[in-house]
Amino acid sequence: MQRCLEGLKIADFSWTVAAPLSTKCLADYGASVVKIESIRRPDILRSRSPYAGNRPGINRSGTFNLYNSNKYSMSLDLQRPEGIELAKRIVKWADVVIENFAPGVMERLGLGYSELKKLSPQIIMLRSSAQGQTGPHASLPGFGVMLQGLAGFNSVLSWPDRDPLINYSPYTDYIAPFFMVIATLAALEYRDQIGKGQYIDLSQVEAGINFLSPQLLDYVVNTRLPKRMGNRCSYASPHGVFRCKGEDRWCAIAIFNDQQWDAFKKVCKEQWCLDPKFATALLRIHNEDQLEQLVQQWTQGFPAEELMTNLQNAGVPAGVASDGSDLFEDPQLNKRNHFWYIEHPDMGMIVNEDFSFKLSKTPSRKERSSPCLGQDTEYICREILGLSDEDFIKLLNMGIFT
Amino acid sequence: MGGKTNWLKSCRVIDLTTDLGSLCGRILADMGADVIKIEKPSGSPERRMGPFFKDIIRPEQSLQWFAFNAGKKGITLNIETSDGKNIIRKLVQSADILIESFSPGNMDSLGLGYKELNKLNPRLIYTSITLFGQDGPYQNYSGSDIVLMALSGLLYINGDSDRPPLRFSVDQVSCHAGLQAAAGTLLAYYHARRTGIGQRVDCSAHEALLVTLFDVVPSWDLNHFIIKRQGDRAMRAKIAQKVLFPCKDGQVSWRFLTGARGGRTKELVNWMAEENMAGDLINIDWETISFDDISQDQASKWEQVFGSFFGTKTRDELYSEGKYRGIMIYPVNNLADVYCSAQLESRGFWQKVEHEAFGEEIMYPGLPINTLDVCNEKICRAPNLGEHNLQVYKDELGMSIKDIIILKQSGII
Repeated sequence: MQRCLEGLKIADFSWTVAAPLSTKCLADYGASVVKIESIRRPDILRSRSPYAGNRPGINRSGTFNLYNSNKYSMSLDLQRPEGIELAKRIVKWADVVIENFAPGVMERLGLGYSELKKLSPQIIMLRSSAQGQTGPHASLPGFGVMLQGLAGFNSVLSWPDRDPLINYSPYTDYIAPFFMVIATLAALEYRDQIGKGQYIDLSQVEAGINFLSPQLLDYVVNTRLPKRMGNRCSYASPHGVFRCKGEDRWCAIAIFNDQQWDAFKKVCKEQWCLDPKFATALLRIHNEDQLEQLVQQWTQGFPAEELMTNLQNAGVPAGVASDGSDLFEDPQLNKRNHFWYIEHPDMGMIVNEDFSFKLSKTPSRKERSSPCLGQDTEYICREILGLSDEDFIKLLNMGIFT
Repeated sequence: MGGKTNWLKSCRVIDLTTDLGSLCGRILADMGADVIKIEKPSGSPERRMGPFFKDIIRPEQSLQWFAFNAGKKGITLNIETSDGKNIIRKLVQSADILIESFSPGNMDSLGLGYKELNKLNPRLIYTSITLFGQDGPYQNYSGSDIVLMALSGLLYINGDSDRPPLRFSVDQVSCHAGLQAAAGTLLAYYHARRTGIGQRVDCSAHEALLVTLFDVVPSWDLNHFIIKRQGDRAMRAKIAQKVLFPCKDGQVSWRFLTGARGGRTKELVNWMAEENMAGDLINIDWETISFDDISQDQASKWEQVFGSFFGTKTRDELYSEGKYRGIMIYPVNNLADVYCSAQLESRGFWQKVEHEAFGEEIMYPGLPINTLDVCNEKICRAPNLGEHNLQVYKDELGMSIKDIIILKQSGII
């Protein structure tokens, strides 16, 4: 099968989650991605649990593995001029440079845009940072778990009687990378047409904010803020997460119209279903408190999976609140080959994940796990940079590949 | 400044999305593509979704419609009629991309599936967005935002531990689906531009959310550990680390860091010491202690001391002084705070979009990118129902006014 991004070359200076997820996407779809790392200052995700066998190690992070499949790893000491020199040669080889250091770092390394443009006039440089390269707050780096608060997401995640809560994962780190892929591919298209490179300054917070557009317009136009509603919906009931049989097992149920309510009544044969106070959509909302209690009493008697299957077969939106182990059993995810396994040099067979879009003719490749740190340094030096044996050994002895 | 680019200006998109994945076409339009949104003659279901402009509940006033359809042209067409199908077939011949989000098999049953349209235009990218994917055991399952949140695993890991798992109070699934569909579409487009070969892009909203789970999947795969919800805390090594702290006028988000980034915690402790609030924390060498060695009890005690300090300061005080000292402490904003952000203002993030019917310009969120070349085109508002019917049917497809009126009166457009 042909590769989607055949021939596309990426110099990847990124680390942690957001930017590496974008370069994983490009790598999975066939681009050659050279991830430049350093043993002295490794990608901090390499020291993020879970570790294989609960044994920490720079090549043993299952989390790092998720965001770095199909990439090459070259280790370079960017504090040394020879290291910078090699980095520049990678830039010259590349079509696109992607980085997510704090603003100013690339410039201090002598790898700012004006330098890169001298090396490669048509280079596309994509810079991803917490809040952008410019502006009064540009200098402070940030993790996605905090940036979600800056973007307003915590303010819409809680129960009406409680303060904002966090989304467990660094939420904006999953919005920015797809904008990065989009911007990269669109910039490449433009470069093909007019022969010009591009400098792209992406803000992760701004990317996240796009997911709250209707609510922001509501504030701009109506001076109104969204309410924290728990699991309720302002125009549908029952709409919530209901306890099922077993320890911490739940099923989400959402009924939006009479059709779905009729379907629900086919599965739930309780007497209260026929109560006229629940007969219409409007009445179900007005009597929401009582309705939820009754549904809750009923669902407790069933395992979540059985409840979901029965409700779905009747035509009611319902879904098990899957935990980590449930996801691996999910028949739909397995049908889509979401989880894939390949041998990792240090960890053995561990899980990787595919993207949610399946291309019929140029599918994602499942050829390599994430690399060990510096695993491909020699290959890159010889095959991509064309270094001679003597030059490679000289640099090796100087400690440039650390 | 931000807003839009014209990088995809030679790309033509036929957008048949409903409320699922509508953001996809918006993003492509923001990147310069010519996007034609096709609605059924009575209007897209998105027009029913609140909130509404000045709470006037009319199909031309839905803020959700505005947000996700800005930049697109709009035509009406009943694609279930034979004339409607002919028009689709004509339109795809000069299109690069078609996006749709009907149930699996729907377009096939109309004779407008990928196989048929690919014959008409072999380089067409045919992107289908569905709840669970084109086929599989869940292909006919009913869904909604909360149901997909549940099945994707994102619901289970959020909320307070003494209450049920929790979703955002704002729909998010359609946004993830639309954004990722745009990425998948452009991957295929890149390939088609070079080879002339189009293909199907099969997007699942359910699968799209899996990417947001951070270490949930490897935690189970490697160590059979289930990540559980912890309210305002996040699991890290053996402990549930507090992330949100009350302060004088709201909350801030902050975590204590150790090791390579322990210096930042040290900076905070130094600040606290200047105000005699550091206590024992001043004796800790944040840069050498290993996170993996810290117990929950220890972490909670430290967090209480930090929390007491935060309680004496406002969000602004903590954020600006924190920035000056290199401490990663952030305010927990509501949308009013977001709108007033000096950072966003300085980056030209907000885009003026003209709504001549209301006699005003409304500020919209723009693309999250700034580039050196400024695109001088403004973002256009979302189309009114059938707004570009004449432009497309008459000017582009060369239909006569007489025929257009016939189609209108027959309910075809």
